[in-house]
Amino acid sequence: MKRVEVIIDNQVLSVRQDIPLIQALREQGILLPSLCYHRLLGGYGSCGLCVVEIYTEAGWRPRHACLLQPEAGLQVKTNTPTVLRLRARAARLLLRRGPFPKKEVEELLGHLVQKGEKTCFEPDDKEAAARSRAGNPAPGCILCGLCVRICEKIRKSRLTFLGRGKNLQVSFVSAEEEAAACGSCKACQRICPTGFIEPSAREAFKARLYK
Amino acid sequence: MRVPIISEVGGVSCVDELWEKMSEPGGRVINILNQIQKDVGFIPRALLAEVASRAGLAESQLHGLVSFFSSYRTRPTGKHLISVCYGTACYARGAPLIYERLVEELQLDADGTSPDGLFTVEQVYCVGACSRAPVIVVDNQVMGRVKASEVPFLVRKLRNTRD
Repeated sequence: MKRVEVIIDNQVLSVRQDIPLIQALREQGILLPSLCYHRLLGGYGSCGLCVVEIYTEAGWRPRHACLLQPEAGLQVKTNTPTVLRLRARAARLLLRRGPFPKKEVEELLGHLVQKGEKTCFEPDDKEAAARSRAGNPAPGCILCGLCVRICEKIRKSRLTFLGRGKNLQVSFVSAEEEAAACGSCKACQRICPTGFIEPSAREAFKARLYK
Repeated sequence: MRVPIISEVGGVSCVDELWEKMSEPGGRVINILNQIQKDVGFIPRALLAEVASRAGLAESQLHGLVSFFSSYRTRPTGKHLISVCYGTACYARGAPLIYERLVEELQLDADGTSPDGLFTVEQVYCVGACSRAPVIVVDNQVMGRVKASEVPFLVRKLRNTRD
């Protein structure tokens, strides 16, 4: 297992090179917030909470830690005003997809929003938030893709994203011979960060390509 | 008239046959879906499942693919297909007025099909005749400079045509 030295918040750390930065840092006890990352499924970059700043030729630039592979000499900052502000913005957008059955998620997001506001005041547009909450066909789902990816990983592949853009939704695709089987493994239910999949994927995800 | 390669009834063997014909491995699935849509008018679920198993993909993956492209249909269209151009030029020259008039006149359902199954209305993005905006395409025939007030006459004319 190859290790490399990286500089995290001005401290030199030796981390594993073969895993995404977010996981390498977790193993060193540095916990970045994230909702869409899982160590078995790899980086996905959808929630935007694990953002860090890295030093590039063009100066400090924000990157998703889950999509970043550690390299020798990589300089990372996890706590700058820019990072906190970007996290707060991502958290605010995610909160609009609520309310969430798991209250911890709302607490985490609320906390990140607050931390960002200390560095840069961005007033919450209450009206826009209410509008996007009202127009959301699946409140509680943040479209992180964990359920779709785990279902594919375990080779059941009963879940998919339907549509695109603001109409993007997760859909359950039934199969005749598996009609009774789905709902028993509960892999998607266990991996869902917000607790949306209840009581089963079939019932939680209403969108269907074929009615 | 060109004979359709695929019909809704003779799906299974046709997908196999078509699979052999399509040479480009990377474009096979999308080309076959295009062919199905062309011949059947929409993509029936049974055929989609057949394509999935032939390609070794999960059916759910193809559901995602089909849903990504708004021009793929998953339900049969009405006898007449009316496409209202929502390109910038047509939009600026009143395409929404035409569309709303059609919705009102035909009482379309969520899929854009009238309850009598005669009409399907869809929005498309630029048919390439911007100088004649606003444009609608009725059964593959482009009509330019359409006024919303002409919609009822058009509908009546189409209703009265007998094939």
